[in-house]
Amino acid sequence: MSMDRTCAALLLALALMQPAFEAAAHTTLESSTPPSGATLEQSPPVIEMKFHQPINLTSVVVVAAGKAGRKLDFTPRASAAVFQLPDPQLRPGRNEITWKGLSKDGHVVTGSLVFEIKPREAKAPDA
Amino acid sequence: MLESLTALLQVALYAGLLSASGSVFARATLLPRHDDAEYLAQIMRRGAALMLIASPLSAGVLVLRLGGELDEPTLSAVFLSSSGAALALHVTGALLLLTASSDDSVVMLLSYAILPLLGFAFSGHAAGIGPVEGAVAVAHVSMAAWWLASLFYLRRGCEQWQFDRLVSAVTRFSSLAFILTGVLVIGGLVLILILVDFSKDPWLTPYGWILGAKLCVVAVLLTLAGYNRRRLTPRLLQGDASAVQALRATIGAELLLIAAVLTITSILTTYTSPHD
Repeated sequence: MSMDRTCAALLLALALMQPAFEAAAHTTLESSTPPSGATLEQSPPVIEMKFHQPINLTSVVVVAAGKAGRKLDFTPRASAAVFQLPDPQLRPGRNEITWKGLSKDGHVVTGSLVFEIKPREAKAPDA
Repeated sequence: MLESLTALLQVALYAGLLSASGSVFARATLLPRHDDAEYLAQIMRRGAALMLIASPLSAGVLVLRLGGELDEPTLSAVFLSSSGAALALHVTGALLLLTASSDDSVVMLLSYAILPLLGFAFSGHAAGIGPVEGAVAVAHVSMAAWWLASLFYLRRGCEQWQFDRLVSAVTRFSSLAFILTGVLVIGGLVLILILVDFSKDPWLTPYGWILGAKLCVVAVLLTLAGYNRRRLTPRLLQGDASAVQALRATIGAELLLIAAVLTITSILTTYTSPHD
């Protein structure tokens, strides 16, 4: 087999590999406060994300039902295992927060958190 | 798509890095004649050029995979991080190797060659654990680099040299290979022990499967290298000229197996992580 054909075979193999390993995407989030899936009465003052290993977080975006994505601020802006999202201003309804970053071993890591905001209904005035 | 491109660039980076740095190691240890030293310098320059293309492109693709925004968090994650340190070492080392003069001393060339390899002390699965683990990775990859370039050198010998000259080169290679490939294998095993958590059934994970595939190819490669050492080298020493063609064929097979190992390694490092 010539070198060109070997390279072509390698290219094809790499392209075919992608779907097979999509399930191996790296999700290194250990926990969050409040925990993902929580139903809250109002937007929390801060969301804390804790990772198994330090990562460089590069973007955090929240998508509320029927709204366009909105970038959230996060601290620290350096490699860390714990990040805080101050004042995320989650809207009533379903809020999905997707995050992306670079792990210490050079992998792009992604994941998401979901929060449901259900404001307490105002009590009906006594008759 | 971007992940496939990353894996492809990783293969190019590994191939460039190993051939560029390995050529310098081969020149320092196999003591080639002037024209063969020039052949190794050619491999060195081609490898450095490949590294110089693949490494910045990898960084560009990484920016795209992180969302493609040139904002401060993305740029600092890519460039002001361990990945950025590895990129700087790759590019600086590649530039030095590409522009190295034939008058540069072997010591100078060795310092250029070590530079891009040090990138493995900053970025990668082993470096993600700690500096000692990163140093083991550097030693492992350095030995692989020497082996790859030495095989290119010997393959040229099988094609172009007089029989006596080839026998002398193969003898020198064999005596060094026993030690250096030993360091390569031990380094690889130490890395597996460091990286893989055997309490969690690692062979049932994608990382375990791909690592297993790599180990199978490495086993075939080592068997072939053992055959060269135990069968073909003694035949050459006994003056059997027919062993030259067999040696050329097995060296070609070894080079293809090394290409397979590099490809599997790039898949291993791009798509999976031992820390998952």
